[in-house]
Amino acid sequence: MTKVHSCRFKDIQKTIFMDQDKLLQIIKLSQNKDQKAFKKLVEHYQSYTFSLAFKLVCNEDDAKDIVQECFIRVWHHLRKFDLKTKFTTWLYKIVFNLSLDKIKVNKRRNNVLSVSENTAVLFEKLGGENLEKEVMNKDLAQIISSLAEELTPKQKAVFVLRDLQGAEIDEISEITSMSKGTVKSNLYYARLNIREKLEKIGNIKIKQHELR
Amino acid sequence: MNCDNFKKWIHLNNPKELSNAEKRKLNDHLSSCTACRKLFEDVESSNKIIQKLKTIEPELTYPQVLTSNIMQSIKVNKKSSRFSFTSIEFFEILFSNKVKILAYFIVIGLIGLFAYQQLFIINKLNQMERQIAIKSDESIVQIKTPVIVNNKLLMQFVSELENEQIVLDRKSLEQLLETFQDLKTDHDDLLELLNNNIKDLEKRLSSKDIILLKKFLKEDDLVKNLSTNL
Repeated sequence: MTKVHSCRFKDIQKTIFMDQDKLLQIIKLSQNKDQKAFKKLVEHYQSYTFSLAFKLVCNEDDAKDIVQECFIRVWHHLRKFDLKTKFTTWLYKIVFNLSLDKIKVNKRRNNVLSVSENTAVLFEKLGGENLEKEVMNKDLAQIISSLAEELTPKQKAVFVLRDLQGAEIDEISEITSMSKGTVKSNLYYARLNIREKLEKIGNIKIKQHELR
Repeated sequence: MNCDNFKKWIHLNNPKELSNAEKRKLNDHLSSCTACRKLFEDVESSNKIIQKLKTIEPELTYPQVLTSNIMQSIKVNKKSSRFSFTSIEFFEILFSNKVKILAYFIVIGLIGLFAYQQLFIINKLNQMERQIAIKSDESIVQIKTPVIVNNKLLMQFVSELENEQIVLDRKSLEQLLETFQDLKTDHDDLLELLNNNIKDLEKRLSSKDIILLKKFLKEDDLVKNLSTNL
């Protein structure tokens, strides 16, 4: 796939390290309902928000819906945004809330994946060299879903934010409106559960090797 | 501290998750407890898998389409919001400083207009009062000139005229009529009454019909004086 039609690793890195003065200028213009400036803001941050939404809801279409809804909210409420605060934290907070709602709806629909032999095969791909080519969106969704299937939505959110997105504890506390202690507590239970899950997958892998 | 307490710390051993003191205590414990050391190694190996997972970003296919959809939704929302605001936008606009200032100006303007109108009416009525007083002959005509500042007093004045409690000569009536016409009031009842009275007076002058004049004027002496004066 050409770079024009997709947005991945390097593009996201670029958005995170966007020049702060330029960003402030774009936000100020967008606050005054400048559509061209807002388009730039969308172009810079849509991959960033998509990444978080995807890892939280584990579904490409749902993640795209969340990104779209997120930016519509940003457009309507950008005037309330305090320029002294970090824009990505504010953006993450919106994505987090929208994703949490989506997770709850999806849970009601029983769209839960379970650890299967197929998941174990997917985990083997993590050992490969060219992860970008080997791990497709569907695979990534299944890996995260199977790891986090027993987590509460908040535990999953804390795990994704901290371990997959690399957010700091303070930032997670702000995004999720939880105290630092609660964030750490949720993170501990999430990691404990995921480690146990990885051990199970490890056992499946061993059995598969024995059968061969 | 027992191993259960350290179990939590082992899982929270990533950078900036434990304080330096906690890290020191954990390292001391790990050097002496094999079970916790084993757990620590397991956690480390699972952390490595998570670190690998962290490097994989989902692929956003056709980002231009997503951007275009977002911009389209905003334009649609903007178009519909020309006629219908969201509640938040409505209150934002309602309590914005520009609207507040505009509201102050409108209120001050309305108060000014009301005060000007009242002063204009009072001034006109006072003028009317003065003119009646000057032009009418007090020796022959009994004039009551109430200060008409509102509809209630005006209607009272009309009522008094109708009940013949107020008696006016021709000039006074004409003056009064003129004043009220200047005022462009919508008190048609009063204007009609005054007009009728003038007609009555004219009739009486021509026919010298005292009986008709008596209906309008109360006292016989005044009637006589008035008729001779007119």
